[in-house]
Amino acid sequence: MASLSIEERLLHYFLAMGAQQVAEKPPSATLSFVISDQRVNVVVARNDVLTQSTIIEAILGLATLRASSNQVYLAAPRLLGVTIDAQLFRSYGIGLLLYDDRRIDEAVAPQVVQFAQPVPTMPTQDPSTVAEITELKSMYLEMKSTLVRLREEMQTLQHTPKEPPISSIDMPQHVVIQQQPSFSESAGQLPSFFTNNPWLDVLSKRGRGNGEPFAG
Amino acid sequence: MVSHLRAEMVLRIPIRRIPVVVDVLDPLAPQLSLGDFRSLQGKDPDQARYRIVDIEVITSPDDQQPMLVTECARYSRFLRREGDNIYFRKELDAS
Repeated sequence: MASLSIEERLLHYFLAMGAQQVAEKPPSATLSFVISDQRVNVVVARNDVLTQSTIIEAILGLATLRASSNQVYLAAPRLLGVTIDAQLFRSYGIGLLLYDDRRIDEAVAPQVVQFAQPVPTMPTQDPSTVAEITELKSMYLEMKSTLVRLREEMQTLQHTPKEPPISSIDMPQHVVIQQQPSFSESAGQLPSFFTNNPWLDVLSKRGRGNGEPFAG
Repeated sequence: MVSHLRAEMVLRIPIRRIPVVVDVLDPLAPQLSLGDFRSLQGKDPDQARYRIVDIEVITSPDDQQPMLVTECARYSRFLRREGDNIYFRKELDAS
C-alpha cells in the first residue's frame, strides 16, 4: 500500500466510503468526489507545509473552495498533525485527514454546507395579460357575490310555509256527476229490468223453507 | 483468519509547555526554565543574549513517561492536536 501515491490512497479511501470521483474539479483541489449528492473537495498538503503561516494560507485557500463544494478536506502528513491545531479547522468547518505510510485517519470532520436553493426569477409581465387577469378576477368576484345572493334567496324560500300547488288553484274544479240508474215510474219505483223477469219469482221463494234444491 | 473490530475510546492528554532559556553566547551555560532564571537573575532574560524556547511535553499514555509533543505523530494511535490537548485513540480491553 505504501507504494501507492497519497492521491491514489485517498481515492481508495473515499471510494470505500461510497464516493464517486468527479473529473471536473476546482483548480486548487487535488481530488473531487460526490458522496450522496454532496460535493467533496480534497486538497493534499505535502511536507513542505511546515510553518504556521503557510498552514493558515492553506486553510484560507480551502475556505474559498467552500463556495463550490459541500465538504472540504485537507489531507496532511501525520507528522504535521502535532503542529496543526484542530480548533483552527473546526472554526472554518474544514475537515482534516492525517496520513502516514500505513493509514489515513479523519482527525476533524468537515462541516457540511448546504447551498441555498436558487430563487426562480419571475418572468416579465405582459401589461395586456395583467389587465385581462384583473378583469377576469373582477368578473369572478361578481359571479361569486351573485352566487352567494342566490343561495341566500334559496334558503329563504325553503324556510317559508308551503302553499297549495298552483294547479289546484288555477284549474277549475271538475264536477263529478254520479250516474244514477234510471228507474221507470211505470213499474212502481222499480227498475226496468224487473219487469217480466222470471227470476223474480224464483228468487222471491228462496229461503222460505221448501227444502227443494235449486239444481240437481 | 477472523478479524474483530475492537471498541475504542479517545484519550485526552493535556500539553505541558515549559519555557527554557538558552544562552546563545555561552553554550556551556545551563539551560534554565524561565521561572528559575527569573528567580536566579532577578530579571527577565535579555533578548540579545538569550532565547526562550517552548518545549511541549505530555505524559505518554502507554508508560506514563514524559514525551515530546512532536513525538506523538510517530504513534499510529495519535488522532489530533486540539488546543492545549493531544487526543489518542485507545482500544478497550475485551475483559
